[in-house]
Amino acid sequence: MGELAWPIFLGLLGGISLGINRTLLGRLGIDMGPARASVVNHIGGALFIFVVLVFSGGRWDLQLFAEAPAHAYVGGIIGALFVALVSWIIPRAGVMKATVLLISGQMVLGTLLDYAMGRKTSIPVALLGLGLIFAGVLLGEYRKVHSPKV
Amino acid sequence: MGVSILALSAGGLLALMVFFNGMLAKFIQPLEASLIIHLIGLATSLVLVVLWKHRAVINHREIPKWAYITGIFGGIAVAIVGVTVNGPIGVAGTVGLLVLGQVLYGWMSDTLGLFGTTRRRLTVLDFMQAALILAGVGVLIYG
Repeated sequence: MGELAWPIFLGLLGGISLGINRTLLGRLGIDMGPARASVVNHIGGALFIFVVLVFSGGRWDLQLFAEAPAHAYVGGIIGALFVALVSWIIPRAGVMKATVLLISGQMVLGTLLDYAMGRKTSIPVALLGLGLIFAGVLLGEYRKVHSPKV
Repeated sequence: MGVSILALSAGGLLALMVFFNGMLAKFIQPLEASLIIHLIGLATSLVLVVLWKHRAVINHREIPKWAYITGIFGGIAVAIVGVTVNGPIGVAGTVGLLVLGQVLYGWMSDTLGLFGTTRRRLTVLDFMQAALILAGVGVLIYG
């Protein structure tokens, strides 16, 4: 438990940050459209991290930048495309269906990637974990649909 | 049907993003990686703005000031993912915890009415949902 406590705490904090990020991004998107909201999002994120780096003394080792394979940089492109894609999908699929499918896709591919990297060993255990998460997501979306107060 | 497959694939894209961002964070530091990722994302977003014409005229006075700080939280999330993916919990554990963290944020948002959202009392279903997701993430991390 001890060595896992820190990554688990960080992961939760990351999820809370994402929740706030999505709420505010959605609010911006209403008025300026998803693409421009994404620009504001990325400028803010870059500025904030830059300031943190300046104060924490970032290493800026260019040697390391060159050592990273080109495809490691693809995440930035995917993130921006993801934001745009989701704002296209949600009005067409509905929030409930979109949420369930998006999380399903994440978890399945996430588990497959761990397999590919040799991190997971048991398929039944992975299926059990995925099944529990899907059940939880479905229950939450069911509750939202049938909630009397909207 | 087409939209469903697209939504499922978009979810897969997010896992890929977490995977690649983690890979970059392993080579350079997580904070440096988050900055580079945001600059690349900014360039991609600018291309999208050009390609994707949005009709609405921006009225900045109608947008609440607090909405503009959204990027700070995205920056934090990306830096955190760079740390956790390379640790013992992996891609699946990270993505699962991100989902659980968003559920917790949903609770806070509903009970406190954060950022102008409607306040809502938590029900037994809310706790059941969190328990199920928590159990699933636990199985993925410890299993």
